[in-house]
Amino acid sequence: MKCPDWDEPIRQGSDFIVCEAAKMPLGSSPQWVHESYGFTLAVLTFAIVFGAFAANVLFGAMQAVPQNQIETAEAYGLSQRQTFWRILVPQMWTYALPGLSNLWMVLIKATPLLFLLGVEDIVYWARELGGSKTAKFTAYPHEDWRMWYFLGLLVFYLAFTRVSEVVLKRITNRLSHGQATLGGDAQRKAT
Amino acid sequence: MSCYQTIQDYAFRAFGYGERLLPRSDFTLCEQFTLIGSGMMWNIYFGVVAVVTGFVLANLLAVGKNAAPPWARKPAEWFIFLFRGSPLFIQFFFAYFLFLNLKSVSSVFDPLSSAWAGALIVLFLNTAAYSADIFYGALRSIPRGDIEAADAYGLSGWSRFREVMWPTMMRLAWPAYTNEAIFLFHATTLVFFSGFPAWQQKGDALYYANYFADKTFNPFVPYPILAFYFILLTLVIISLFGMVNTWLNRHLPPNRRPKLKFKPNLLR
Repeated sequence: MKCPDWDEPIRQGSDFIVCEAAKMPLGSSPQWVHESYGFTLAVLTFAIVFGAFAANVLFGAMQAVPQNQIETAEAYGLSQRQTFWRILVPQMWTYALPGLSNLWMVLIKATPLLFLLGVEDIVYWARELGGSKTAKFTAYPHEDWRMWYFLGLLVFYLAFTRVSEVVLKRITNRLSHGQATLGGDAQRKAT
Repeated sequence: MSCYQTIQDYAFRAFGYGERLLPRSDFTLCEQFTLIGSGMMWNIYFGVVAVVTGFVLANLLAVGKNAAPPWARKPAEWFIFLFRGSPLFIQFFFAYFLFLNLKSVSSVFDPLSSAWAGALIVLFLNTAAYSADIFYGALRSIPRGDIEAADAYGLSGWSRFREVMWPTMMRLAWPAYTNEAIFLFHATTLVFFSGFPAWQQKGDALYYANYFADKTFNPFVPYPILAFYFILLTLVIISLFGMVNTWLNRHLPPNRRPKLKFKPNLLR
């Protein structure tokens, strides 16, 4: 019990009241604690949501590994654990990669929504710094530059997706090396 | 105040008709249902207009992306990359500030900085890009036999596209396109949260839900109401698109018609 002598209702009209000692993070803690608390919450939320989706993708990938591979491993006398780690897991990535890369693309585009939760991300700063400044309040007065800041953001995200596309394509190529899939067959024919 | 009275006052509040002042205290469930439902009309307006207009542009883009000459292929590819590669949220922000700047150039651009026109344009272009990629994928997976049969019948050019390729493309793309449409409706909630201001508190469903959550400090009533409306809307969309799907596959025996499957998307 953090506030043993608390006897008022938590909601008083439109106010939501929490006692000082129960606040999370504490009101007296330094600024960086507040900021990293918000950041951790945001990361945790994304991790839960996207973890669920990634789990679904990985499950599908495990189902997609040809049954013969597993049977062969068993015929060689590998134990369940060995079959899982040495046969199933190395092979499932080719099947998981399309789904995972799709998820990654969605994740990139989902992060700016954090701005709505008050996390001071790139969108926040674009709005903050781009807005018009008057000579009274700042040493660098300027017009409303938010359009250019957001154009920069747009280009940033496009570049981010483009780089991801290229990298993921490379990984796909590497993973399908020697696999019994269409991609793997194409590589074998090319050499 | 009776619930009937509330509905009379606030049913069309989102379009600026009825009572001007929003309720300020002692919020009833009826008020929340009515106002959020009233805001829902904006979501339906954005969604319906963007889906219908986006469908046309998406077809053009899909054919363009599939075309051999670079002058047709490259612009379509770039357009699709531009709108699929960046977050819708940023597109809204950028478009809003762009329209604000255009406003100072000429008064022709005045309506663009308000949500009903400006946000609609962004949604239209965005859904066109996403649907175009769906249609392009479908166009690429038309069975070779269909086209060979069309050739054998002496069809070519426009009539081959219109009579053979386009119907098959629609049939293949329809389940994925249904998801895209559902998702577009969900994306309409971003409009008033990204730059575009709600003049005189004429906002969409999320705007009012947020208003109630802010005033009552209780998000557990308005947001479930919002969710309820959106589930209802999704069910309507699924049944409408399902009817089109049945119609598209009317030549097949009923047990061989492909079923629509709702696969919820994450975020855009």
